[in-house]
Amino acid sequence: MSPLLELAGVDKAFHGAGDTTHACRSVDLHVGEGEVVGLVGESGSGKSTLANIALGLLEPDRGEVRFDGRPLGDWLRREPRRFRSQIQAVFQQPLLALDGRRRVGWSVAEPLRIHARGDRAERRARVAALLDRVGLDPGIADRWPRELSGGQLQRVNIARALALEPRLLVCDEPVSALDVSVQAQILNLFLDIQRDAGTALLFISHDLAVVRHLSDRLVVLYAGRVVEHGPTAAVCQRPQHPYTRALLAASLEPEAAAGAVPEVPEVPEVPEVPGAPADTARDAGPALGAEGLPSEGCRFAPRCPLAEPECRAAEPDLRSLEPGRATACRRAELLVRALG
Amino acid sequence: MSAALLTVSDLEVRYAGARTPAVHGLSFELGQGGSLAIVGESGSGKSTAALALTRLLPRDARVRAGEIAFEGRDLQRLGARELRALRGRRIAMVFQDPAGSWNPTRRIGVQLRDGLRAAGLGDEARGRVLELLRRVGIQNPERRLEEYPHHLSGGMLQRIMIAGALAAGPSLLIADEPTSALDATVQAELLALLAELRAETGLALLIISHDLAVVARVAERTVVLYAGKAVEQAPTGALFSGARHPYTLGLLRSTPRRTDAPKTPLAAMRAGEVAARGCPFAPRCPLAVERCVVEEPGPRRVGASTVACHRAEEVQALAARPA
Repeated sequence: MSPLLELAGVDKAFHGAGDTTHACRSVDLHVGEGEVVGLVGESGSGKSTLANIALGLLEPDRGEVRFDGRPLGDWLRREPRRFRSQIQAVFQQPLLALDGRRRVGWSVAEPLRIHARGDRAERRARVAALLDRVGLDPGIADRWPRELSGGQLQRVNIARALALEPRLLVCDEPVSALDVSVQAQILNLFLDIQRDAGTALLFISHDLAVVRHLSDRLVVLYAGRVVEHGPTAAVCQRPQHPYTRALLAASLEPEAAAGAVPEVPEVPEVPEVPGAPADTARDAGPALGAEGLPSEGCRFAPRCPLAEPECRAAEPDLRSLEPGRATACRRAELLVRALG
Repeated sequence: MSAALLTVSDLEVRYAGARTPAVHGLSFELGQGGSLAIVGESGSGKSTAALALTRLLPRDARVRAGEIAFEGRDLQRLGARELRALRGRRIAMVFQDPAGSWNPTRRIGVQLRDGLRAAGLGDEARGRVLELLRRVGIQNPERRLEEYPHHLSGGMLQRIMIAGALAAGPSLLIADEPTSALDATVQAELLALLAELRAETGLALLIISHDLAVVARVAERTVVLYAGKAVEQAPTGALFSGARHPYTLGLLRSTPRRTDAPKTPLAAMRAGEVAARGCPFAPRCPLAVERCVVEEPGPRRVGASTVACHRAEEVQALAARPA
């Protein structure tokens, strides 16, 4: 059976004045029916570009995108509405995603109107049911977006995304703008939806802790490429890419300070601080995604404690050390051994 | 604790036209070389509290306090000029948005120099700045100073901001969400850097954050704000292992963590308004009883915490219960 969503060899570059940003390169990605796939990466890693490509909002320069086994181009040419009813999106800024001049209920009913589902009264009842489904008082339909809190607004967006009972929700940083107590409520709601309706989720976030909590499978992006993917627990317990390990180590938890939970174990054979760095290396961070990135070899090499000359010469391909997983690191075996 | 560097008692900030104060009854003490975090969610008043200390709030904010004593002087009594002399020299500040804190049309070096002049430092401070830039991990600082902000990453800009803030040798750094706009790996490096700088220079740190995990890394003591009120204050380790306020516990339990079984619901707090009467947290509190609705709890000592909750003794029993 083909996966619900499949990206194969997807490239996308943006051309600016005098420079070109390769937002994603040779990305393979798939989401099965009812599956939750977490896409994690830092700013500039290409996650939002991939979200937009999956939604058919951006066309890749190269590569194939298929939904339910059919090329996206074909869907969009022949049956754009049917495609859009099956794949819906939730974005980061809940207020910006709603029309501020329309009452909340109008926005939730919008997909129903566009797709001509039911008459007025039926749509009204459906909106009430959807609002109730996401934990809101149906009376909120008569309020204005500006009157609602961030958490309420994101629930409204989710209600709208669910209106057509999609098979896949693409969620791009849906909880990043929310307070932690609200974030927990919204994450629980996503879990609920996935469990009850079997909706598949492509869940995109910079926050590994959030993604880890929700996902069956993790895909780790760095500088536009998939550097590691596999089942969530396996990837988090035994990372096979030094970047994944760095993300795990950087993922902070309050209890660590209180001594209740041990820190990610140090790896004796693997030094923590990058060795002889390229110019921007110790400055680390998003800069390496946007600028100062090596133009050949492994893009992570300047920050990598394991890098050897070969890593800088040629970009490593994804390879599998165990079934269901893959890593794009030439020295993954060393890391695996060191993590014991 | 060592001698107090900053003592704040009974701070209240009220914006014109607001029904309730943005901050009220906030008291804390920060020792020389110590570190204290003010943590809270959006709208809790944490940034307002920080800005009130150095009188950087807009004019429509009224600040009243029993005392805001810094190095033995009451900041409320200082004139504008004296206060300006203190800011930048003795008290340095770093804010959240590294890009927004810089003028995009001017070179980094020029802006740093202007900042130092405003703090009363001349060009002789340049050498010290270069040294600090190297210290915070900026390679080729001379070259970086010639660049414009958009050439540099957020992490780099924030490092340079910290170096500039420390050039005058302040005794207190107020950092308002200093790492919230940065990627996780960069954030971890920057927090480690702040800890190192404190150890080397004896700098005291007042950090404002929404993120308990950040606070855990850098602060010896933590104050938890809810709706402008300090609901709990304790040594950071004790706060996380033995929270005495239901809101603190709720925050901790809302955070996804690696020990959770994947795809299990988080222990989310219920949504609710801030109560105008009684305990502000009562509408969301799993322990709330009649008394909480009518009588606002004052601060009292329970365990290692100073906590404003009528039922603080029962919070740990709640923690032991599964979600």
